[in-house]
Order: sequence, then structure tokens, then C-alpha cells
Amino acid sequence: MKKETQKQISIRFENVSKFFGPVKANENISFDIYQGEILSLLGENGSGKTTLMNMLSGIYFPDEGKIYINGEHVTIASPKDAFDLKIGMVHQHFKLIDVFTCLENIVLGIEDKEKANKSKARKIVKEICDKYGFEINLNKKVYDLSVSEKQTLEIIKVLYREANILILDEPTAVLTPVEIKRLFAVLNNMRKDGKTIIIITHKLNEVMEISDRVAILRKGQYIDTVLTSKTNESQLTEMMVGKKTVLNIDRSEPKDVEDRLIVNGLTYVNGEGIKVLDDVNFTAKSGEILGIAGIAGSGQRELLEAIAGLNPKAKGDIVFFRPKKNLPVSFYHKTYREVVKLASEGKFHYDNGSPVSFEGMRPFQIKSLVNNGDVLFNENEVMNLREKSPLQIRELGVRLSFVPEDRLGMGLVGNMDLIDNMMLRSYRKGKGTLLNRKNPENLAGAIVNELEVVTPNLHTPVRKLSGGNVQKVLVGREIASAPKVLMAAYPVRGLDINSSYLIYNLLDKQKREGTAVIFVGEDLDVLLALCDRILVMCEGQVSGIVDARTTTKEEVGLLMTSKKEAEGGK
Amino acid sequence: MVAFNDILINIIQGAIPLAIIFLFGCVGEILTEKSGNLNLGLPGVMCFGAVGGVLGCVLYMKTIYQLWPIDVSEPVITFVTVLSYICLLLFAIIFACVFGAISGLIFSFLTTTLKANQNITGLALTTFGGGFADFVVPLITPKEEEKALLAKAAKILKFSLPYDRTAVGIWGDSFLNQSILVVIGFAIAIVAFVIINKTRVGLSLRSVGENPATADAAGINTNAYRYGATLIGCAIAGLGGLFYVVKINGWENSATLQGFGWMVLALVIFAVWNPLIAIVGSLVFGALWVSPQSGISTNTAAGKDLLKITPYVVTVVVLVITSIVGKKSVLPPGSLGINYFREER
Amino acid sequence: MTEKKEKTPLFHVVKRSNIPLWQSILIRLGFVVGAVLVGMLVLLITRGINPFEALYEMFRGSFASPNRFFNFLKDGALLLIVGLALVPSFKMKFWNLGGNGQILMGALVTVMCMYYLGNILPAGYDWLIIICMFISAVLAGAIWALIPALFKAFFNTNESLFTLMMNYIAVGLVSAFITVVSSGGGSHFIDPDMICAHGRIPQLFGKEATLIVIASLIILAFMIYYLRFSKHGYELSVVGESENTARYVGINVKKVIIRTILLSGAICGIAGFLISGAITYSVTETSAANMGFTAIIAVWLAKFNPFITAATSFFVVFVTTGMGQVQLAFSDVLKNNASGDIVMGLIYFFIIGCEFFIEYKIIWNKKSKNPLENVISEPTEAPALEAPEPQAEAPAKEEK
Repeated sequence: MKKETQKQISIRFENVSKFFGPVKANENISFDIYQGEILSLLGENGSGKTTLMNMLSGIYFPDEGKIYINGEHVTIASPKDAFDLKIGMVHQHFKLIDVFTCLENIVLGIEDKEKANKSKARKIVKEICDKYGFEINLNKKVYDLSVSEKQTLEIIKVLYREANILILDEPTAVLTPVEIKRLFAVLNNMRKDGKTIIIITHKLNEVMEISDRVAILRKGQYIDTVLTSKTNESQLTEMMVGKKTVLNIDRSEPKDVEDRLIVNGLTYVNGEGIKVLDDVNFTAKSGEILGIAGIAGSGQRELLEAIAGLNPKAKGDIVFFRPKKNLPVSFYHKTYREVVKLASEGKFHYDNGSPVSFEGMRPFQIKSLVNNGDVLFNENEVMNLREKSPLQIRELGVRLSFVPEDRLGMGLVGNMDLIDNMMLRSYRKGKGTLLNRKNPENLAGAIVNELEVVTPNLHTPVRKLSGGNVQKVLVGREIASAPKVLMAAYPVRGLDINSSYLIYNLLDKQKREGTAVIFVGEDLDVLLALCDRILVMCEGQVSGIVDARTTTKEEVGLLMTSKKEAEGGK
Repeated sequence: MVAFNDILINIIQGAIPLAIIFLFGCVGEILTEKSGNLNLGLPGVMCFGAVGGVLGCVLYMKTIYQLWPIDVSEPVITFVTVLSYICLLLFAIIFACVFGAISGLIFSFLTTTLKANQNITGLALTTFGGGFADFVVPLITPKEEEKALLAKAAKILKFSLPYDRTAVGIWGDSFLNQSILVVIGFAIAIVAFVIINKTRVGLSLRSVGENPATADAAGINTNAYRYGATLIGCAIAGLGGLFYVVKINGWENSATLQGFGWMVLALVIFAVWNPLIAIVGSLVFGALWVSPQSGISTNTAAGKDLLKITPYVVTVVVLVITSIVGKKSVLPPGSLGINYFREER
Repeated sequence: MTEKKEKTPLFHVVKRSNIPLWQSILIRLGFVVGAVLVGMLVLLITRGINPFEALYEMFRGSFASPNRFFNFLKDGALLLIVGLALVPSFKMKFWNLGGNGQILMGALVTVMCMYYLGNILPAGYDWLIIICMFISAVLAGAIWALIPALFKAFFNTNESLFTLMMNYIAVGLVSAFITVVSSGGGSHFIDPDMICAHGRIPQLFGKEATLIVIASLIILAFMIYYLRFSKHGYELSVVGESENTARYVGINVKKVIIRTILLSGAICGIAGFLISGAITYSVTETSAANMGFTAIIAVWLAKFNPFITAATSFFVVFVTTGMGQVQLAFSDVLKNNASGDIVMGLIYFFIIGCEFFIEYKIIWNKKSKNPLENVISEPTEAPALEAPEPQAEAPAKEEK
């Protein structure tokens, strides 16, 4: 424990509030941050951590309340004011200009002529690098940098401006364990220098490892500040989410498990030439939830998008088994000619088990047989979704639903109302050019009722709903089509605990109904409690698939950061 | 059949004045667009500049010129004539710049402060600018007397810097017998290039145009840069309007100048946002514009009309090629046409 | 307390979450009236024109006589057609600034049909010529729009600049055609009686306006159906709102862009067909009368709603013809029609600016008057680090 007993207050928040329309991002927040400490700002997604820090760094202006720096009441109306107060922030989404070099990014916006001089800057940057142990090539263009290099550059930028108060927003989300270690070493050095460091995070192990004190926010409100040495992870969790997280997720036992989707050798090189998916192989089975774990940006998004047909350049096989065994053939997704061809290959049988042969039959006879549901499939249909567009996948009759990470940017259209958003999936139904708004309206009404969506009416643009309600609308629509495969990327991100549970239960219900559920999550506790198997990704590769019932957080955590040996035998 | 040489000299002599109108407009617009503001009101801005130029000239001619007259037909270099010449130049330039900047202020206020759509604001500014010029210029030059004074001022402003005519020959003459404004035009283009690409201010300006959120987080006052670049850019473009007045010795209506304004927007693309390429581009465009009138024989009369559209066709080709190549160095500034609101979520 | 940094900005700006419809309409109307008044004030100050007389003349411009009213209807309906042509492309966030060029190409091929087919076909085949005119005008407008759309769809080429250039290329082609048919004597215009004697679209009920108004109503009805009730209309608004969403639900974005812009260009072509085939029987470089640009502002003011576009189009025409009449009435002091552009420009500026007050809210920052609020005086010694301990033990506040 620290022996110093007296510390200077560096930052004081006093009744600070910030509203975004009806959303109370921060409400009446008051607490102190001491000089020379590392303070973790802990809270779930959407608890207002970043908003609060953005007010400190001048991005947002508080609607109410006061901020004091070193005892002085200050007004931070712009990032420049923040710099003048020696406050520097490393944003989660890096604020760098891609087409500039590192050096240009460092001197960008500096008014002091001395420091803005590039050759002088080079020297000072070198001193900073030596002092804290950074490595950087100042002549590189930012678009050539790796994520961790970009972060290093951001930190150097802040230090170059001689910041005394350093704010890091989710700094470890994109880093490998080695890089995290290096970052923490740097942070410790800075603390020794007397700098005040605030880390925004929701990862408890890191909080315990690096910080002196922890301030907790929940739903935009300040809960408490505790000494790290006097607390433990379960106590912090309790403060963070409001009740003990013995995760009470009802996990049903999988039944009627059969292969539903086999992904084989899926590889995707993105527009910048980076291999975001590298030979991904796995099987998703009906009646179970397959979790996907990994550090953010390890290829989870691209994987789901590739399966959904959104990454047409992805290479590899995506084989879908359409559950048709002993089910009737229909003309819904098959043409008459296809049916006749499959029959001649002996793919069908009658109810009594005898094989179907249409030989010598007239077309109308065949049609009536099929329409009566007398012709049954022998086996599940096998379809390769490789290089198929979302539309083609749909036309094949593959019921594949996808809840994307970016709800309002991809899953829904923010400016359209609930009904029009329901239509996104179904508007093509029906002949002719006219839209049918009746069924979508019924569906929207049903979802609002069943999932308790809070909305003034069905004609409200979805962007006006709160995050949890937006997600309910999206998930509701995606499960409405009784999918055979349901993929959900971070479906509970930013949701309160009740909405989260609602989503978990919906996923489990889908599983019980025989859907193959693929769930990309970030909270390992949830993944362990909800899923049946967990696929762990690391830098675009599958680093392991484990049984969720028997594995431990440590094992998964290790897999998340251990890339497969390049040449090591499979 | 006119001799080839003569045609070429015709083209050069005709192209350079036009090129300077384009160049002023183009450099001004490049500066504006580098800050992320796509000002489609450029034709209107140039009309504003023309009004300023006319006002400056007429004001000067009616007042100080009466004391320090210059013999237009046979200018003699004396202290008074040089002084008078410089004063007229300053009057014209300052007024043109101020009027150009006023139109830039309208644009900036609407787009940067009131976050209005840039395309719409630009179109409205073009409508307003054309009307403003056609409304105000007759107010400034209500009678023949003022028109004559304006024409005289234009003639004076066309004076070239002194040089030895006999020494340079007919070719040199065609290049050197140009107004001082031509020299200023080239100089501004070069200065603009240096400022944008080699200075701290230029670095900040480009960052605002590329990614205002980042520039803002780096402590750069994005609004100030957008205002500044747009105002200065429009002031420079205003000089294009002034030079148009000088070139045609007065004012008829805004239609031709507006046409030039649209041409300049094409030129900015042609120059891939680089003032140095803009110099070359403006000369090429000027040559393409005048060549139909300079004796080039085409098989049909309609050929001349078709020759006139070559600048636009060339621009379309450049636009298409740059978008296909897609290299960062030839693409427009990242946030071109998009307003920035810090508290956007 | 040292208050040296007390420089709270007077106000700050936040996005509005909601505004009642009547309030937003009221704000807009208020700004339009304000703009007209400022315009009148300008005329009063610079030219000494009595604002009330000017306003009176403004109304007379469109309503003084049946003929004027029919002209008003004709011009308004034409602008409406062009506006309706642009609505789908703007709804798709495709900045089609090429309306002028598309109209002009429609007009050009219309006159070409009248001229060339009129020479070939014997008299009495006007109906055939008219059909050819219509088809070729639709095609010409569509093709002129298609070229930029193709490059936008496949290479993401900036469409606003591309369409802008296409306008001038169209002007050049018209100019070349005029030179060809009017060659001899160095004249550069098309004599309707010589060139366009055949294939003239007959007037309905003896008025040019009738046909145009009917055409505009048909297109209006079609556009309402297309945008609101058809699958195509739904797809294009999804593409306009979010291309990612469109990809996600399997909409072929390229196809939608091309299809929508083809429609847009085709209707512009129809406008050109009506101008040359039913009104002027001729074509000039300015046949489009800048409607391609004016209509953009009209549809933008209408927030891309076809119904409201009808209102804004007629309003724009009302102001322009009104200002033309003002110029006629005060021709002793107004030498040209520039005042119309000025008033129109002012209206644009005012309405453009007023959107800000609809989208955003200004929050005035109150300065704190109570000195007790600034509790911290002198740089304080923080409590000992151990101090928070008891609190840490306390259970987190439960909220329901």
C-alpha cells in the first residue's frame, strides 16, 4: 500500500451532466482525481465513461456542472482549451490523419513555433521515446501503421504537448498481451513522473493490475471510487452492473444436434491488403450456441459478414445443410425442372419410404404430387454459399439471419420508422411492384408487444429509440423469419442488464427451436455461461474451439492472444 | 489560310488573359476546398469580385485619378503616372478581394456556422451573385461617363510591365505583353502552393479538410480555418472577376463570367487540387477556349462549337481517371462537402 | 477561488431531438416572408421603390390576367416536372446537378426529330413524328444521366461534378446543331417555321399550359406511387439512407443507382420534349432556362417530398414572374431583371439558414450568480488516500 497520505487534487467534477436529447449520458457526476495516480474509470458500455472524459478533453461541453483543474474552476470549450490545461486524450477511435506522416501528425495543431518546427520536433520526440521506451518511424504515413503503432503515436502526440493529465479510452481493446504489457510499463513510468492518468475500461483484470483507484459509473451516474488494493473483482462488478453477476443465464441442453453450417478454409484479404480472415474452419450445429471470442478486430465481424454474403471477395467454402430430410418438396424455392432433375437422381421418396420416380408421368400429375406434399426429401439439402450475395442466399431459401454489430448503420435505417424497417427483410415478397405494408405493420406491432419495445408508436423513426429498444427491434425482426442460422455480433453492447438478459433468453429460445446460433461476444463470463462451444479467434485465425461448460476464462483468454504457429503441424 | 505561327500567337495572346481569370478562380477554390468546403457558388463569388473591381475602378477614376491622370494612348513613365497606376491597381484589387470575401462570408456563415448543405448554399450563392452583379453594376455605372471611365481604368490595368519590345521578338511579346495582374495571378498560385504544402498553417488547413474531427481534437480551430480559407479563397477568386472586367473593358452581364466560374470548378478537378498544376491547367483551358476563334480551320462550322466543349470533356476524363486510380494523392480532401459538428454522435 | 479561466461561452449548440411539424413549418414560412421583405427593403433603399406597390406588382405578375395565370401554370408545371425528375435521385443522395443538360438533350433530339423526320415524312404523319420525338427525348435524357451514374456506381466518381460537366457538353452539342441547321448567313438561331414546322404537339383547349399541367399531374401521381408505394422507391430510399444497410439486405446498390438515375434523366428528357415540342418549337443553348438548378432548390426546400415539391415549384415561379413584373412596372429605375435573382437568392439564403434553427437548439449558458457554488477555494489538500475506504465497503446504491 502507498505510504504517502496526502495527495493533491488534480481534477474535480462537480455535478456534471450531459444530455443527448432524451438520453442522460451523464447525470450529476461529482468526484475527484488525484495527481500522480492511475485511475480506472470503470463501467459497462454506455455507462457514460467516454462522454465524461470527452467533456474533460473539450469534445463535448457539459450541459450542467463544473470542472476544476488543480483547484481552479475551468471552462473547457474546445480541445484547445484542454491542451492549454495540459489535458491530453487518446481516443478509442484514433484521431490521426491517414495521409500525413507520423511527424506531421505530432506537430499538427501546435501553436508554439519552436515546437512546431519539424526538425526540432524530431529531437524532442526522440527524447520522449527514449524516456518511456517507444519505437516509432516518424516518416511513415499513418495508413501504413499497425494499430499498436497508431496508439503509440497517439500517446507520443499527447506527451509531446507536455500533458500532465492523460486520458486513455479503452487502450487495450485492440492490443495483444505483449503490447498491453509494454503499454502498462509506459504508464507506470508516467505515473512515476507525476502525471495523472485516467484509463477508461471495462476489463476488470486490467483495472486490478494497473490502477491505484477505480471510479465506477453506471447508466450515466457516478457510483463510487474505491482503492484498488482494497477491493476485488466481484465487488467491482457488483458496483458496475448493480447486482451480483452470478450470471443467471438459463442454458438449455442442446438436443437434435446436427451439422448446419460448415465453414471451410475461409480467407479474406481486405481492401488494405490485410489478411483479416486466415483459413477459418468450423462447424455450427443446430440446437446449440456457438460463441465467438476474441480481441476486438480479430476478424469476427468479417467472418459473419462473409457468411452473410457481404464480403464477396472472401475465399473458401460455406456449406449449408438445409434441414429437409423427410420433409416435403415444394415449388417455393425450386423450379419444376429442378424438381424433375432431382427426382431422376433419386433424391426423393414417398411417405411410405419407396423411392420417387416421375418416369412416365404428365407434368400436371407431378405438380399435384408435389403440391400435395407427397414427395419427400431423402437427405438434407447441401448448398454452398460461397460467393453468393445476400439476395442469392435468400433466393436459395436459406433462412440465415444476421444481427450486425452496427445496428443503425447496417441492420436498420435510422431515419425510417419501425414498419419500414421491418420491410427491409420482406419487402420483396409478393408479386408486382407494389409494397405491402400490412404484414410488416403487424410484425412491428407484435415485436413491440412481445419484446416490450418502448416507442411512442410504430411510425417513429428508429434512431429516436434508445439503444436497447433499437436492438430489440433488430433482433425481433431477425428472429421473426424463423431462421435456421442466427448470427449475432455483440448483440448486448451498450444495453442495460435487463435488455441484455432478454437478448440472451431470446438466443437460447432460438437454440431450443433448433436454430444454429452464432454469438460474437466480448464478455467472457457471458460467453462461458451462454454458449455450448466457444470458437476463439486471434488475428483472423481460429486459435481454438473449446467446450464452454468445461473451459475456464483463463484458457479462453490465453487462446485469444495466441496465434497459431505459422508452420506448426495442424 | 492563316500561317500556323500566327494562329499559335493568337492563341497564346488570347489564352493568357482567360487563363488568368481561370487561375484566380481556381486557386481560390482550391484553397477553399482544401478546408473541406465545396463552394459551388464560385460563379457567384467571381461576380461579386467583378462588382468590387468595377466599384474600385470607378471610385478611383472619379476621385484621385482626376488629380493624377494617365495618358492612356501613349503612357509616359513619370512619378505621378506610376503612383496613379499603383493606386488604381490597389483600389481595384482591394475592392475585388473585399467583395469576393463578403460572398465567402455568406457561404461560410451558412455552411460552417449554420451547418447548411454546401451544394445548395453554393447554388443559391451563384443565383444571388449573378443577380447582385447585374443589379449593382448598372447602379455604379449609370451613365456613359462612368462606363467610359471604367473602360479607361481597364485599359490602364492592362498595361504590362516595361520591357524592351524589340529585344524579345514577336514570341516574347506575346508572352510579356500582359497585365501586371497576370504576374500577380501566377505569383498567387505559387504562394498558395507553398503555403498549402510547406507550412504549418497549410498542414493544419489540410488536416481540417481531410478529417475535421481529428484536427479539432488536435486543438485546431476548425471553424476558424474553414472561415479563413473560404474568405481568402473567395477574395482570390474575386480577382478573377476583376480581371474579367479588365479583359472586356467593362461589364455586359453576368452570364459569361458565370460560365467561366463553372469552368473553374472543372479546372479544380483537372488540377487535382494542386495550384501548380492549376497554372498549366488554366493555360490549357484558356487555349482550348480561344482556339475556335483564332483561325484554326475545322471541317465544319459546327466543329468550333464542339471544340468549345473540349475543356469539359477533358475534365470529365480527368475526373473518371482519378476516381478509378483512387490514389490518396489525387483524391479530393477527405471531408470535402461535409460540414463538421463537434458534438455529433 | 481563483476565477481566472471564467470565460464560459455565451451559448453552445446541441442537436434537437424533436420538433413539432407545425413549428418547423411556421419557422420556414416566417423566414420566407422575412426574405421577401428584405428583398423589398433592398429595392426601397437602392431604387426608392415603394414596397407595397412592388408586392402588388409581384402578385400581378402571375394573376393580373388569364394569360398571365396560364403562363404561371405552364412555368410552374414545367418546373414541377423537372423537380419530380430530381426527387428520386436526391432521395438516393445522388447529387444530380445535370438537370439542365438532361433537359437540353431531350429538347435537342426533339427538334432533330422535327427537322429530319419532318423533311422525310409526308404531311399528315405528325403523330408519328411526335411519338419518335417522345421516345428519343426520353432516351436522350436518360442516357445523359446514365453516363455519370455508371461511373458513380462502378468507380464512385463524384457525381455532382460529373453531372455539372455534362451540362456544358450538352450546351456545346446544341450549339453545334444550331450552327449546322442555320448555316449560311452566319446566323445562329433556329427559325421555328423553317426547322420545326412538322411534329408540333397540338395544344389542348387552345392553351399551351393545359398539356403541361396534365403531364405534370401524371408525373406527380406516378412519382408519389413510385416513391411511397413501390418496391423500387423503397429500395432507393434505403440506398440513400445507408448503403451498408442496402448491401446487408441484398439490394444491388449499383443497379438501384443506375435505374433511379435513368428514371431521373428520362423525366428531364420529357421536360425537354415538352419545351421544344409543345412550347418553343425550337432549341437554344438556354432552352433549359436553368430549371435544372432551380428545381434542385425547389425539391430541397420540399425535403424531397413530391407533394410539397408542387407547392415549392409554383412558389419559385410565382416569385420569379412576380419580380419580372416588378421590373416591367418600374422599368425606369430597374434596367434588367437582376432584382428577381436577388430576391430569389435572398429567399434561398433565408430558408437554407433557417434549417439550422429546426435541426439544432441553442443553449444559452447561464453564469452562476451564487458565489457559494464555487466551493473549492485555494488549492485544496485532498483527504488522505485512505479516506475513501469506508465508502468502498458500503454496498453500491441499488436503483430500480
